[in-house]
Amino acid sequence: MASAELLLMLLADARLPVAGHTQSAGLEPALRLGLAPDEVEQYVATRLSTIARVEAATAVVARHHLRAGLSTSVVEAAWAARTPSPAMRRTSRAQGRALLRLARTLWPDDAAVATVSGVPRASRAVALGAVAAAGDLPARELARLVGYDDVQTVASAALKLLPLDPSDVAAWVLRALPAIDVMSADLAHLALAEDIPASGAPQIEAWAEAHARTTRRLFSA
Amino acid sequence: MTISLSARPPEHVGDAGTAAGSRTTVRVELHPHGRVRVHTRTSGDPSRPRLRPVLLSSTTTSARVCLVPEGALLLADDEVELVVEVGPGAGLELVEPGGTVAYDMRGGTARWDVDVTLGDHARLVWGGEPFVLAAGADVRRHTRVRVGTGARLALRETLVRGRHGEPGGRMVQRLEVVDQDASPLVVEELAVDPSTARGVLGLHRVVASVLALGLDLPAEVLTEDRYDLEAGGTWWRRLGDEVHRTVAQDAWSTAREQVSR
Repeated sequence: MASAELLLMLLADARLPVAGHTQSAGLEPALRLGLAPDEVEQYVATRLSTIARVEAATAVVARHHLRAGLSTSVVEAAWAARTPSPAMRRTSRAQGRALLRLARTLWPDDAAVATVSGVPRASRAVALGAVAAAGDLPARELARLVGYDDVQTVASAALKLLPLDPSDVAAWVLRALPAIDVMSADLAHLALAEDIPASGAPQIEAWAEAHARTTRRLFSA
Repeated sequence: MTISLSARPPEHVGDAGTAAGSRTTVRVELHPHGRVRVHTRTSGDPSRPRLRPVLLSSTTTSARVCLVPEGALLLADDEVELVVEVGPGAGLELVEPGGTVAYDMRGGTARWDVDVTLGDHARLVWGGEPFVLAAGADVRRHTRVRVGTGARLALRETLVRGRHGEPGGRMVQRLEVVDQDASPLVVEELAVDPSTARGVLGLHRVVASVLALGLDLPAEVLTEDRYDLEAGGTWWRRLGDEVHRTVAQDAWSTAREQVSR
């Protein structure tokens, strides 16, 4: 089995065929509905303390449940109760479906991947928990993956939505890395669904709902 | 020796409230003969501010109770605890005479904890008035609701950051609603502070919500700002700058009417 570092690189790579290029992590509606271009870096930080934090924690707890042979249904329910926006739940499940399709090819005999594939409508967070269980990715690296992916999703979408210098955007990502490490250290020990943080972001959720209703969009979410 | 999780001195554990705080209990139960039984109780240091429940009216199936604040609410070190229990099949409407202002706490903090238990087929209507977070306020506000089978709930909450023209204070607001099996319906923690990043409440001053559980609301009505929860129930949540424009009045009157029915 490959090292955790290499597996993390594979999973965090934008070239992974999970349609990551269709996502803006809510940035497209945010910019359309009032976020100023110079607030994008702050938007990244907000997501790390709210939406991405819930997703990372859910993935960590799902991984734990799968490794312990426990059902992930309470984990999925905890995530759904913390994700009031139907649009955000739909987006996450579409991403979960794509990720599980890939995971079945990468780990065809893995029990965790098979279990979560058998659950109707698994969220991306729970699917990531299965991938981590299959690839033996430690909990802290899994949380880092979720945080890093969220930041890079905003960053790469920003380059398509705003006239920015790509080097400046890479600098945002670099500056966000310590916050990802802090978040990952906070969440890595979580094992119980009820302990998943419930940090909401009503403005981001409202923007996500508005985006789901518009036809004028570049990114699916 | 047992240590209370809330770090209260042992002699105050139970219904006595806390040294710095108060506990108000409102319990409504059906009674085989006549009107519902309404038990109210307020405990804690009478020199501290507290909520006094006043029975407005009652019938054989439900009661209306007003929560009257006594003393200046909400200041540093205040701990207000409200316990609401609606027995199986009974109904309760809670009303508030006005909004609550959490004042400048000059480095101190305050707590506001609400614990609601709805029995099977119980009904609760609670039209909360605005909770205003003045500059310098620092509040932890927890609301926990347990909902029995077939119970119905209409809950309105409005949070206002700052009085007119001032920045708002700091608050961690947690809402946790679970069903009869302790399975979560909605769990949300909002961390609000003057430096709160843009995504949490945007540039808005007011966040108003109406939570409706156990109702039959077709998907095509009241669609604006509507969040249908995964495990059942609907939440309308709107961000704005003026209370009267931000509260989803249509959703509130529909939810209130359906729960009261």
